[in-house]
Amino acid sequence: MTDKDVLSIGFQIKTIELLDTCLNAPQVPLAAETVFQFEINLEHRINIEKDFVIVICTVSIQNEPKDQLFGKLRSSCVYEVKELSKFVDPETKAVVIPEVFATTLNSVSLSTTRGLMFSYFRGTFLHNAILPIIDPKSFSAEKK
Amino acid sequence: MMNGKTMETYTSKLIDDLLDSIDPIDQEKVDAKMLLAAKIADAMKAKKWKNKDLLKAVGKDNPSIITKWLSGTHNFTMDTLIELQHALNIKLLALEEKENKIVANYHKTVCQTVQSSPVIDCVNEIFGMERQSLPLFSSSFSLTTNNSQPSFAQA
Repeated sequence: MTDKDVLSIGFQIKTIELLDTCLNAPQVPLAAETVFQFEINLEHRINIEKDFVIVICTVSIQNEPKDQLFGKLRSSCVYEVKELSKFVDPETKAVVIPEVFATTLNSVSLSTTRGLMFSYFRGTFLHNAILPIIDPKSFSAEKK
Repeated sequence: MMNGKTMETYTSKLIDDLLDSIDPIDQEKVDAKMLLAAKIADAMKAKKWKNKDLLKAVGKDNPSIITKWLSGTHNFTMDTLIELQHALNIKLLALEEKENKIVANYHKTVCQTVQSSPVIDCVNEIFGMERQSLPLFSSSFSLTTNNSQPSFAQA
């Protein structure tokens, strides 16, 4: 890796917030081994004035045919990014966060949400429904 | 400490009384007018504009109006502020609710087979049963009402 390949961005986590939660008891008793579907959505929001990148992570836990929602948790991780304005395109005014940095933010946010989920669902029928380890690069992205 | 001298804080009862007597709303009005004037002056400086350039850009013909705008005492009308925003390409009014802009969305679905909760497993182990065959109640009670005082007997 050359010096040019090194991307140095100063950032720190400012706030972790639990936004929404829900827990729905299963209609029929769950089998000893149950297949859970984890639907994950990560949304990046920007506040240029405050140098904030807000990653809102929503995880829905459903049954395999996806016809019953067992639980849902939405969290937000607020990151303060040094000189965020340098990622603003001067012509289009669009914010372009480097892919590698976006992946890092997604990875940290996912891990944080995994902890929040465990804390919220512990002692319930979703006690063992721990958010699996996911490659943060494998998400399908939609840039706005 | 500056040049070997200690800096002293000057306090005056007269000044304090005067400052206290200013209505906070009046103070806010003055601050807003000064801020608007400063924003206009900064935008002109960035564009390297002189008063006559701004005069031309807003389509006015009285040069003294620019001096008045930059004095920090002018009570701007909404129309003037909108004209200035367009001419200088700056934001002087912030009427809309500021919302954090969404820049990207990432999505993924993962499947995982999960064992039942350890609490249930523990119950199964104690009773030596499969989870599905667990009875609803481990003991039942019958209620007798022969006397005025009901009594319970375990079955």
